[in-house]
Amino acid sequence: MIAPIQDAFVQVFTLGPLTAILFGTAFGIVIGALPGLGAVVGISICLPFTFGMPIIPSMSLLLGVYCGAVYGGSISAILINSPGTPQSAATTLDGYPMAMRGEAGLAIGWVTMSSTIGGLISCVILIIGAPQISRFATNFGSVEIFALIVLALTCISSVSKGAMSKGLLMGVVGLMLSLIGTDPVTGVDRFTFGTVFLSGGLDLIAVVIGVFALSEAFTRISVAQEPQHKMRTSGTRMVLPPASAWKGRGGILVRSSGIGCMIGALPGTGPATAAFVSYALAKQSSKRGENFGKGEPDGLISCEAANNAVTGSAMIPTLALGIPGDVVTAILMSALVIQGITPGVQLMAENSAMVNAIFLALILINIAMLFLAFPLIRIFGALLSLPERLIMTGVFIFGILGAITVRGNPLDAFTALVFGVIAMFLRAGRYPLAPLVIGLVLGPQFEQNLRRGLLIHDGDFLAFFTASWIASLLFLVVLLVLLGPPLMAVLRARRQEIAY
Amino acid sequence: MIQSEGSPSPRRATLDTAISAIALIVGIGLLVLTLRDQQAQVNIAAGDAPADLPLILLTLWIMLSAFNLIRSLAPAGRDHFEKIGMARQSPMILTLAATILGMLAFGYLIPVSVGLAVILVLLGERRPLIFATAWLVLGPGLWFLLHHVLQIRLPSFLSGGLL
Repeated sequence: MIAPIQDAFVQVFTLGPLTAILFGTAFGIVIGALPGLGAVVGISICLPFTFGMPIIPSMSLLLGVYCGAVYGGSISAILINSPGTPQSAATTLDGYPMAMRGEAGLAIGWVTMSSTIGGLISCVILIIGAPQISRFATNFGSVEIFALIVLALTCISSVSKGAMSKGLLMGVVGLMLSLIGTDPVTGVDRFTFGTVFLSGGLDLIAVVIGVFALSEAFTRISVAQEPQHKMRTSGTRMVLPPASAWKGRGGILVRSSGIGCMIGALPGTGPATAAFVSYALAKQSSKRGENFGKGEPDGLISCEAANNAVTGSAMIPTLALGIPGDVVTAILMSALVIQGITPGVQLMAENSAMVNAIFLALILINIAMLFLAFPLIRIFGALLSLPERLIMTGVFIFGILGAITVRGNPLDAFTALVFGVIAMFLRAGRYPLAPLVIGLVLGPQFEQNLRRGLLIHDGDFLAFFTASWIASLLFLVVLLVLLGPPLMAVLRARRQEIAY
Repeated sequence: MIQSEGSPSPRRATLDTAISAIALIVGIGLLVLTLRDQQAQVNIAAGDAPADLPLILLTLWIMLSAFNLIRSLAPAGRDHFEKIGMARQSPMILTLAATILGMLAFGYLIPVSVGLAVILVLLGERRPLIFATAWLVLGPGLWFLLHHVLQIRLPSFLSGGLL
């Protein structure tokens, strides 16, 4: 019991992981604060550079970027009324009015404390929840894992922006892209068109960089944006709220963190959903509900505790089941896969020291956030004044570099460019990109479990629905997710007809 | 400008219809390719074929693309679109493509140094000091840091790896 925890401390409290935690968190806060760039772009840029690093520093770096970016988005939301990330949109409602009253430092203090506590609570939930789910999941065979992947892809497609059919198509395209290359069972080339470059499959990192970083930059350069700040942003200092100010606000903090943890563990949701749900519930339940939207700290606590609580709980399905719930966790999972570690059922049992080290790193990241906020807030004035064109130039260059560094092949950068252009059009057409990348990440597992399941059940596809109660239940949920919205629409139309 | 936000117009449906139609054509093309190659890919030992899953996925792909195409043609089903200003993006995409292809022949440093200058000009950076600093840091500076200091090998022009 004690030995794995000791191992975790030994692995994390060395120069490499601690440097990665500090650098990753600081970089995450900066990239999160720059409007439009968020955790996905930050992690996409950093991912290739973790390739040559040991597993603990690489995960510390990426988790630091993730948590830092979720928190950092709130800084620009408060200072310039422009949320750095979508999850910080709710923060503008009360953060900016506080800043306009001259309380920007205090607003950042509330946000920092709430984010840290929300993040730490979610770490505790992760530490308790992940092993339990993993223990239950040891009963899973090929059929159940296949059903779980189908369920994850369906849920993510159905809750993504745009029509469900578009989300499902993107999921299918992602799975198809994962099939490019040599078939691992028979050695036959699939969709390589006779090229040597494609026989090894598409480079996942190049695709991620293209789909998220380059397409974001292409979309943003179409509209020339320059910082137009209504208030002075430089020289702001963080002021932590006094202990007396927390009186009567602890309940909101704990409840919002709980909401964030629950929403984070569900596939396809994320910090933005958690922030808005928590904000709405806090507005109803708070004694100071009428002040929401006018610079009420309760509003800041509710959304920031919730969106940071997502960071830990979103890792539960990724680490315990090997099923990422959103794009960020899909990229984090691919970082593990690159290192030769397969997240999922066996991970907790076989690599308990490594998993504990990741948990510990996550706790340290949340604490580091609190201390890094003090010096970083002072330089944000200059950072937020950086011209958009310089930031986008950086994204282009880091995108190309990131794609090349993994295999040293310039053609990977070309892959990133091609996917960047395709994703730019898909974004404009309201096609969700998360199912595409998650399909690509889960594709090999999807095929492996399908083929293994078919071999076990003599090629009988029906066995996938009837082999066990878990698989039956999972497929039933898939059907409900697929058929639920159209059935509800028909019922609503009928009810309206009857009413008239 | 490909699409514009606002009141319903024929242009608003163009992008959705075009994406759905292209997806449908690509799906059908890949299905034909898979069916053509299926005979050569039978796995006698395992009883399953490497083309089984692609065939299932491509069927779903075609069905969903066709559904999206029909939906895009129906006025009620049209989504709102973001703006894409291709006037700024096309030169950028061409510059990036030329830079990347240039790397195959000239290594990383030379094409990126030229490409970076063009990118800065295309994005409208005109202040000499900022231009020079950004070019130096993001171009040769980053190359030196990664290639020579951190030993992350980037494509080289000279076989020794100096440049």
